[in-house]
Amino acid sequence: MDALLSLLKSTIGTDQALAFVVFLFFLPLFFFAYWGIKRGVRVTLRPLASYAALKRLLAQAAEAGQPVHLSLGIAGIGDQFTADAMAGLTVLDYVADRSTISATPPIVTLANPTALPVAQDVLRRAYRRHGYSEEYDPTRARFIAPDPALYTGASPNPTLYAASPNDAFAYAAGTMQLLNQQKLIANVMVGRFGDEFLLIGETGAQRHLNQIGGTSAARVLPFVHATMEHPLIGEEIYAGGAYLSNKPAHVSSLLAQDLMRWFLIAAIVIAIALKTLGLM
Amino acid sequence: MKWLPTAIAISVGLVTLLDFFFTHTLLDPLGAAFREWVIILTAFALLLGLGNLVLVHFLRIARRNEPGAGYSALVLLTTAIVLGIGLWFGLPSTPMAWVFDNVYVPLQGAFFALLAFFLATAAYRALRAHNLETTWMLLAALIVFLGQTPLVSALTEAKEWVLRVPSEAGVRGILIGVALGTLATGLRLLVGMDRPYSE
Repeated sequence: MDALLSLLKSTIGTDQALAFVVFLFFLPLFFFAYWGIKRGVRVTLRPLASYAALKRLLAQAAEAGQPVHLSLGIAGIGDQFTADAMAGLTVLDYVADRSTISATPPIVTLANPTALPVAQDVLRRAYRRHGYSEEYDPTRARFIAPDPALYTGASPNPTLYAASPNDAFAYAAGTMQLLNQQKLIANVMVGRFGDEFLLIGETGAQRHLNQIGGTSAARVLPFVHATMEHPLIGEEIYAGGAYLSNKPAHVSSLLAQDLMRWFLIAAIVIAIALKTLGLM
Repeated sequence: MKWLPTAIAISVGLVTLLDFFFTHTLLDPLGAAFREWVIILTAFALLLGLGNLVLVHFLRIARRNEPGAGYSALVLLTTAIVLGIGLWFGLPSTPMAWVFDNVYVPLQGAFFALLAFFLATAAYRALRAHNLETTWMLLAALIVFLGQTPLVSALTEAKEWVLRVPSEAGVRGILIGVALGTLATGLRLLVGMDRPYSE
């Protein structure tokens, strides 16, 4: 037994072991939910006003002939916030699909160059799906600035810029100019953001644009609530695929997340009870 | 051959995930190599980004009637200057450090200072008590604001309680949700159900 424990300790750390247990627990829940949905189990999602508003706004954009601005934020592909970038790209997939039919493609801005080819590809595929490949314009996805400079390695003195490693002010400056000059029907911001969320969101609010946005960064959520007409709080940004496109994989992962959450709540309550009774 | 990108993505994802969980003589160098490749790919992506930036601003100037085309010319000019300095002197170097310290940092500082004004107008709009939710927000904000001032020391403890109990409880709840959402997104990518890299 000691030999087995020693072998385990040498191959996996405590934090990794805990993460591995959570992963192993989540895996069957996800596949069970996916299997159920594929076999026709109907899942009713609680209404999320922000995604319903986005659907309405895209219809308005088609009528007005004005595009939607979509900001994917500072996350890229391959960094620790890839999930946030994926959330933004999922929303872009839907927006691009709806907008290309009405010839009002969205303007996409981003601060991380790794997300640029993916965003352009999402737009290109939307055009191809509807048979308008020749209409595709790669400059509708715009890389504004490589912010934050620290992450991209462009900074010559990283310690000097470590004070605000998550804030993308150059990106904010470029996007604020776009919001001020371009005729837009709405400003949508989904992804990872720092303090620049306030600068961009407030510019949109002062221009009376319809605004939908959210991020997973807890310290930015007050800015989301203050500036967005339809805020997406925390994990709601990951639910775009389920609410907008009703994709089975996205709906099943949402269901698995909810089940997992209930297990975690139960575990927390049991742990509190055991601790209170002195059994832990 | 449509399956090939998916197969490569799943294999690389699995190896990286296993490398995160376990220490193994075969997995460790593979995982390290994949992480190095990400850095190389990011550098190439930065070149793509630069190309996109130049193209967008060049087209704005070429179209002539676009508002703010002068700013686009300025962007292209500064891009060329900084690129030239970087290519000529390398990185790190004294001229590049001078550009960052005397141009980038002051501009970043100026934008940081702008936050205060934007925050004031945003807070004014957000904290108008027009329903129960915003009334609670206004109350909590008032307690925290007044609790910060030495004149109203009676509210210091109340401020600490607001930050430590309801605020922190909410943040923890959000963080648990974000962690589960990240896990779900990662899993969908790992098993090939989300394929942003192919049809």
